[in-house]
Amino acid sequence: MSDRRKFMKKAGLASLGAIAASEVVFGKNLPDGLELIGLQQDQDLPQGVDPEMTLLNDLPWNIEAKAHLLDDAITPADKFFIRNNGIPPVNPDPETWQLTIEGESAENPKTYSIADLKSKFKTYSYQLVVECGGNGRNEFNPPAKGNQWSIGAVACAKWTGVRLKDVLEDVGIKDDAVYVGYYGGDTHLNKDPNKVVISRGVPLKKAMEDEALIAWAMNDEDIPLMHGYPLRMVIGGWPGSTSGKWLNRIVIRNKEHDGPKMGGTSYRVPCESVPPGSKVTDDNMCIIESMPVKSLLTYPKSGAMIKEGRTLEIRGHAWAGDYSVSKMEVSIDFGSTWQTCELQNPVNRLAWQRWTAKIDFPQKGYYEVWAKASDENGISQPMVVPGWNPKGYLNNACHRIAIKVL
Amino acid sequence: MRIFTLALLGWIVIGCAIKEKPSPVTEKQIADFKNEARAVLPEGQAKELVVDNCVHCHSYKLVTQNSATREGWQSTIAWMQETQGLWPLGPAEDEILDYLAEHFAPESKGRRVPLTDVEWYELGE
Repeated sequence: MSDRRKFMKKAGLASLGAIAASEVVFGKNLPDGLELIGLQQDQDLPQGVDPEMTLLNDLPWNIEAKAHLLDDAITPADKFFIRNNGIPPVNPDPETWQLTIEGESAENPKTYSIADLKSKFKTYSYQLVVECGGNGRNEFNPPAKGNQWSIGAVACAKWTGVRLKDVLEDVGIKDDAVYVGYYGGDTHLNKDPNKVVISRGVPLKKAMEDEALIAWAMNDEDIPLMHGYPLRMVIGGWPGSTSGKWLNRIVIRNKEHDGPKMGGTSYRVPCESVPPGSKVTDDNMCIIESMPVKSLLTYPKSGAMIKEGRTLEIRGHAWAGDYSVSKMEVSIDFGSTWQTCELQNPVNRLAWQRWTAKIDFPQKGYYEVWAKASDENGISQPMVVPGWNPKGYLNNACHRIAIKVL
Repeated sequence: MRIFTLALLGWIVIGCAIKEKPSPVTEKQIADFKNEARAVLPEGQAKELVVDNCVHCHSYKLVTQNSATREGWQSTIAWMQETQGLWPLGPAEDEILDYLAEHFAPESKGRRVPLTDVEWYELGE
C-alpha cells in the first residue's frame, strides 16, 4: 500500500466517487498523519445525525454541533450532541424495557414498565438545557484529557416523561436518603458485560425538582437510540453525565452515590483553584453541580462578510445552570465596550433564553463579536479561559465569531 | 416448593439473559477500527503496539485528538488500568509512552487562541 493510499479511508473513497490518490494535487507532499479535509468531511456518522456535526470519536460515539447548527429555539435531534461513554444497547424493546427503583434508602423497591410509568404518573414536558461538563475542553492549557469538545456539546430539546420525584415518592424515600444514582443498559468498551460504564446521579434535592424527568420522548418523538432510547433521565442545568441514558435502574442512596465516574477526577474540579498544570489529589476534587453561565452566538455563522453601512441582526441563546440569565451583552471591540441585547425569559425553568441584537459597525474592517451573559447572581462569563482543572471542565469563556465589513 | 421453582426459573431467565446479551461490537468491527488506525497513525516503532493495546477498546480518534507529556500519557494509561479494565502493558508501556509523547505532545496555547480556520462567506440580506 502506497503512503498516499493511507489517506483514503474506505468509506470516504466510496462516497466521494473514488478519488484516486494520483488525482490529489500535491498529494505526495502531505505529511504523515494528516487526512484530506475533503475526506474528513465525508465522515461516517450514525443515522439521524446532521452531516455538518463534528465527529470527535466513533468508538464510543462523541459528536458535537457547530454554533450555527444550534440556532433553533428547540434543538432538533439531529443537531443534539452525542456523548457516549460505552456502547448503546442493541435494539432495546420499549415493550419489555424495565426500570427498577431500589437502593438502601428506597422504602419498597419497585419495577415499572414504560407503560406503567405512562399510566401511573402524570406526564410533563420541559425544555431543558443539557450541556456536557467538558464542553470547551479543547481550550485548556496545558491540555486536558478526554474528548476535545469545542463549543457544541450543549443543546436544549423538549423532553417528555414523568417527574423523577413522583416515581421516587411512589417507591417511598427513607428519611436518610441523600443521593439518587442511575444505571443504564450500555456496555463497557472493554466488552465485559458486567462492567458498569457510567453510573452517576444527583443529590436528592436536585432529583426532587419539578423539572427532573424520567423521559421517553424528545421533541415529541421517541428518543433516538444515541440519546438514550427508550428511557433516560434528564437533569437540566447540571453536567450531561447526570442525565443517564438507556435508564434501567435508579438507586436511592443514604450516602453520596459511588458508581463509576462519580469519584476520582471524573466530573470534578479542584475544591480550591489551582495553578494551570497542577497535580490535584482525589480528596481535593469536588463534584460539579450547576453548570456556569454561558451563551452562544448562533446567527450568523462565523465568517460572515457584509457591506459597510449594513445593520447586522445577530442572535443566540444564553443559559446559567440552575439559574436564569438576567443580562446579555455583545462587544465588537474586543471587550472594550458592551452593548446590551434583547433577552427573553426562559419558556420554563432550566431552558435556555433567546437573545437578539442589532449591530452597527463604525467602519470597514475585521471584527469579532463577543457574547457575554450574566446570571441572576450577577456572575458573568469570562473573556479568557477560566480556572484550569485537570479534566478540563466548565470552560464558559465568551463565544466569539468573526465578521468582515467590506 | 413454588418459591423455590420461581427462584430457579428466575435464575435461569436472568442467567440466560446475561449469557445471550449480544456483543455490541463485533470482532470484524474491531478489526476495521484497527485497520483504520494503522492507516492514520503516524509511523513509529510502537505504532502497532498502540493499535493492538489502545484500539482494542476505543477509536484511535481518542488518541489523536489528545496531547500530553510522557507523564500525562502515563497517568492516562494508569487511569485506564485502574478504572477501565486495561490490562498490564509490561515492557510495551515504555515504547508506547515514547511514541505518544513524541507524536502527540502538547503545544502551549496561551489563555485564548485567535479565531482560526474562519471560512469567509457573503451573508445574504
